[in-house]
Amino acid sequence: MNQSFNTLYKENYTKVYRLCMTYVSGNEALADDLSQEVFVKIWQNLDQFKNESQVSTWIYRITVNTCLMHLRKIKKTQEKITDQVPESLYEDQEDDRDERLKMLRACIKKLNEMGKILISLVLEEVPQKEIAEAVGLSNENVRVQIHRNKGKLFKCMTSKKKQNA
Amino acid sequence: MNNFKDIKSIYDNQKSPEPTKVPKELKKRIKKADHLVNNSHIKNIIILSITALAIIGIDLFYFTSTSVLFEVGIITMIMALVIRITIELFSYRRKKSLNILCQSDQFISDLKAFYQWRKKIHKYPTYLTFSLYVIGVGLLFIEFYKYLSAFWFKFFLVEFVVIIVVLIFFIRKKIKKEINTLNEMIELYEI
Repeated sequence: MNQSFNTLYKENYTKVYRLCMTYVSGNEALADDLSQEVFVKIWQNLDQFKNESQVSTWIYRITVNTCLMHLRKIKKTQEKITDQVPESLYEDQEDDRDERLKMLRACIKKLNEMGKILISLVLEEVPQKEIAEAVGLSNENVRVQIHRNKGKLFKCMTSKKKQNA
Repeated sequence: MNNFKDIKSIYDNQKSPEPTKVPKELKKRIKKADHLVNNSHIKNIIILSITALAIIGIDLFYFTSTSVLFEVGIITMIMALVIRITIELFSYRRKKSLNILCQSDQFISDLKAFYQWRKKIHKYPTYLTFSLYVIGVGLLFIEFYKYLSAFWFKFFLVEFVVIIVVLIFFIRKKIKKEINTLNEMIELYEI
């Protein structure tokens, strides 16, 4: 295992894991499995990385495509997980944070596949230009779709919060 | 929940692992992925090739003096195996050509096209290869008739028919299941 791969792993695992985690609605085991699969693909294609684009764009692209490749597995696992948010929000700060995160994931799950991809990348603070490059949509299209999906997410989060109030 | 910043702060507050080195599990997975033989298509090709070679070997070294009908049977069986091996090879090459590095919209349409192609090769080519193989074995039975007693011939014939019926049942079930899975996948990529 070469040094550049080790560095790449250490520097990017968290980002990849968080992206996968958002995509699989918080299933830790599946997110870890997909993250490992992403790094297998990175290892297999390491020699094809050209310095034309940023390494992060390259990794985001592999991550998104790996998640897409395992869409059926993700859907099957998600069917078993309920998207219901617990009845009440706890007073304890840590529990409250977890519940809000679950709520966010449940709302992201409701978006279509492209919406999920775009919102995951936006939440990871990937610049719009890099997102467009990774997904293959025009800058303008990405901007419109991000705006639309942010709106959906915001609406869903607000209604879930009202339900729990 | 006043703006997107609130949503972002929820996301940023999640706990995330921060590894310091590549875990053993990932190293093992990489090693496994590097081995060609771990690919399901390659495994099938190896099994089918061994079967074809065994049939050729038995024909050449065991059944030395046989009839034309027997040889036609052997050739039909080999043909069925060759067709299947070719399909597996194409399938392997097509899957390998899926480029994980391409832009996601292209990757989605490539995945969809791949599963549509898998759907095509699953139905009729499977029936064709299976039928050819059964015809081949059937032709061998005519030759066996000369060497076996009436009892053993009937015994093997009944056994052969039972196996074929059971196989047809299972293959049909498996094809149906596979087609349903592929339809499900194609639908998933209608993004």
